[in-house]
Amino acid sequence: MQLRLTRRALDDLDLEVVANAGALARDLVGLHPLIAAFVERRGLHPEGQEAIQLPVSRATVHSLHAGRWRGLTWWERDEDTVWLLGAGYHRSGEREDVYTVLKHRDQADGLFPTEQDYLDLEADPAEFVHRLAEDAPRLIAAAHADVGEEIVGEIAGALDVGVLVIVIEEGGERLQETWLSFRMPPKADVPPYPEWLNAAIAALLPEAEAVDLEFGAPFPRPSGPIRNEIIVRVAR
Amino acid sequence: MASQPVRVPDSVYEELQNAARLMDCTPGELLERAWSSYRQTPEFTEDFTAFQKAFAKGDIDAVTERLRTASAERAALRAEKSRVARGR
Repeated sequence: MQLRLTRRALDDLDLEVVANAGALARDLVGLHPLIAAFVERRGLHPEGQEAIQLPVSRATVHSLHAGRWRGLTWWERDEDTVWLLGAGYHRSGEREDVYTVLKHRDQADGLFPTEQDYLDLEADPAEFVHRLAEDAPRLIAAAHADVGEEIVGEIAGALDVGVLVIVIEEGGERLQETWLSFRMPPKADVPPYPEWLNAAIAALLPEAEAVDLEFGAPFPRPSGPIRNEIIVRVAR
Repeated sequence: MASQPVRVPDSVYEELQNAARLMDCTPGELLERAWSSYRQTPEFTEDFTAFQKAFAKGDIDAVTERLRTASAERAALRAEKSRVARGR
């Protein structure tokens, strides 16, 4: 289970939003007593004692207390994530009372995690792409320089890739096959975004047509297949 | 020669671990599963062609932006799934 804060909750607590967006709540406990209470209590149980009825959303949210501070938390079961949705002071009967404010937010569809909150949980690809642009040409050049040998190298220090170039000449015809083998699992924290793998293939096979890519054929290495490798073959 | 691995922040990595745990697999297996279904889609071919063109032009930013767009689409799907579950 994860504990996280929405951007709105960070703002409610007067915390730097961009710098802290997407952070795990446990990494922010020193910044606010309500976050400390959030981690301590919801870390033990994802739901609190005091359920709050919302005016529009069909979701069970729970109140969280820390001194004068109150917050609403929501356990997103499908993602097994507890969110701190918003916070403020409890001022019973007043318009600025946190529960009144947060219920208004629910009516305006602004209480629960937004697209941006979910986007904050995604890895940024910039470093991976930068490293890919450096590593892929080097690796493919090494394979072309040593035709018939599988050259194993790294992409971004995270993906081990085997590259094999085979040239077949028959009756004046020349056929070149290029084989890629991505070792799975990656040896470092490559996120499970398949588009990142696609970008790696595109960088390694700059002249291949997408329709000519074949997947899953056995990699032609004398030592046989490697468990869980993702294989790509292209011939031209 | 081994090089420094690409960095993924702990907060993101924990998200991946959590997603893998929910699917009862490892992050690596999650990548394999996602890959198997993605490469059957029209987006695979469109992305591949766009990535190739961008790399050929040395336009690294275009590759990055396309991957960011994919992230934004995933985030939008999650937000929509959450909205539906809440009856919005």
